[in-house]
Amino acid sequence: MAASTMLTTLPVDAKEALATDGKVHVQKVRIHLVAIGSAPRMSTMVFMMTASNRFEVVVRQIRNKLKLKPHESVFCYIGNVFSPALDESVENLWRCFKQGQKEELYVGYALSQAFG
Amino acid sequence: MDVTALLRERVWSASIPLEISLHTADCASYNAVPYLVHVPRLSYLAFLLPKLHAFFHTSLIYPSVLPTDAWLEYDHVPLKWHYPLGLLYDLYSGAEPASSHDASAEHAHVLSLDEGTPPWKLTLHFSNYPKDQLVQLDVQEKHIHDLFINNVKEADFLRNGTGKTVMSLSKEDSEQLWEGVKQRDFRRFARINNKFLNPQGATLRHIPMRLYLPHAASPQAEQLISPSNRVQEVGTDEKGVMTGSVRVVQGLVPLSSSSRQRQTVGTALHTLLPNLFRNTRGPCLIAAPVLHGAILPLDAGLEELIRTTTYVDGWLHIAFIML
Repeated sequence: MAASTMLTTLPVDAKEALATDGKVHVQKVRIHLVAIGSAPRMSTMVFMMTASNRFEVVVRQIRNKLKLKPHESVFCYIGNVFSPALDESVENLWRCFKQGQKEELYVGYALSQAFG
Repeated sequence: MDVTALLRERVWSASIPLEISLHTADCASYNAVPYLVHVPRLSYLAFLLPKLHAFFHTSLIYPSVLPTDAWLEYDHVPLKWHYPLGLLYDLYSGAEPASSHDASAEHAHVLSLDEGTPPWKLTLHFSNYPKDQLVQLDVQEKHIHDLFINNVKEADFLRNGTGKTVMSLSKEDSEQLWEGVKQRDFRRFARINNKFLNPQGATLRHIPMRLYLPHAASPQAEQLISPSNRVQEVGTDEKGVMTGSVRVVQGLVPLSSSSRQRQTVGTALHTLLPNLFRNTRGPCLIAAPVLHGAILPLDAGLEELIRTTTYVDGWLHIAFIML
C-alpha cells in the first residue's frame, strides 16, 4: 500500500473532530433584519455575526439597536414561521434557513407577538 | 399491528424511572423522602413541577417559594426544560445504550428495557436559579408551550420548506396537539401529528434532526453555578470529555439524496459530520449515535425514522456516546 493512501485513511485527532466537525466553514455570517408590522426600522438592517454565537446574541443586538427597556418585549422570527430558542446556535439556523445569493439569515422582529 | 405502528407505540410508551431528592440547601429536615416517578421518555420535566412542589412543600426551608422557582440538576448540570426527558437521559445519565448486537431475542430485549432499570437520581433545587442557563418557567406553562410549539414549527419548516402546515393549523388543533402531549393521549396527538407527516399538496423535503455532541466547551461555558452558589468547573470524565457540555449540529438533510439513494442514518451523519463519519456505512470509531436509549443502526432509513421514532416536537434528537 502506498504511504499516501495510508496517511489519508488515518483517523484525524478524535478530540479535534469532536470539537469542530459539522461547523460551518465561515467565521461570520450575514444577518438581515426585517421589521414586522409597526416595528421601527433601524439604520443598519444587515450585519455580520460570529457563527458560533447563540441566537440570544442576535436578540440582544436587536434590543440594543431599538433601545428597548428591560420590561419591553421583542419577538424574533425566522421565515415568518418560528422563534428560535435563545440557546440555538446562529450557525445552525444560518445553514438551514439562509436565503438568496448573499446567503443571509433573515430575522423578522416585532414588538408584539406576530405569529401565534 | 404492523412494524411502523408497533415501533410508534413502543417509543410513545417508553418511560424512565426517576428518583428526585430535594437539595440539602432547600431542605428543612435531614431525611426528606425522595419522590419516585416513572416519566415517559417523550415527556418534559416541566410537567412535574406542580407535583414536586406539592410533595416537598412541607420539607422546604422557605415554604413561600413557587413551583416555578424549582429546577432540576444531575451531576451539576441544570436540565433544560425544552429538552425531552429521553434526550436528557441519553445525554447525561451515563446509562449504557442498548445495541442490536446484544439483542439475541429481540422482543424480550426491548421489553426488558424499562424493567429493572435503576432510577435516574436527580436533585431538585428551589433556590439559586441558574438564570444564565435555564429559561424560568411560569405557572400557566406558557413558556414551555412556546418552546414546544416553536420547535414544532421549526421542524415543519424543515420538512416542507414553508411551515405552511403548522401555520394553517386551527387554534383548536394546535391546542389538541399540546393537550395530547400533556395528557399523554396518543390518539389526540397522532391526529395532528399525521397532518405534519402527510402535508396536503406537498412532499417532505428535509429531515428535522439535531445531533448533540459531547464537546470541550469554551472557558465561559465551562463554569457552572454549583449548588452552594460558588462558580465551579465542570469535571471531565475518564475519556477526557467535558461532562455536561454538548454542541448541537443541525443541517439540511434532504429526504432523498440527489442520486435518489435512500437516506439513512449513515448517509446523513456522513453529510453532517464528515470527519467523524468518514463513509456512509462504516461506524465512527470514537462515537455512536443514540436515540431513545438505543444505538441507531447506520442503515436505518430516515423516512421510516421520522414516521415512527421522532420526539413529540417532530425532531430526531440524537445523542452521541463516546466509545
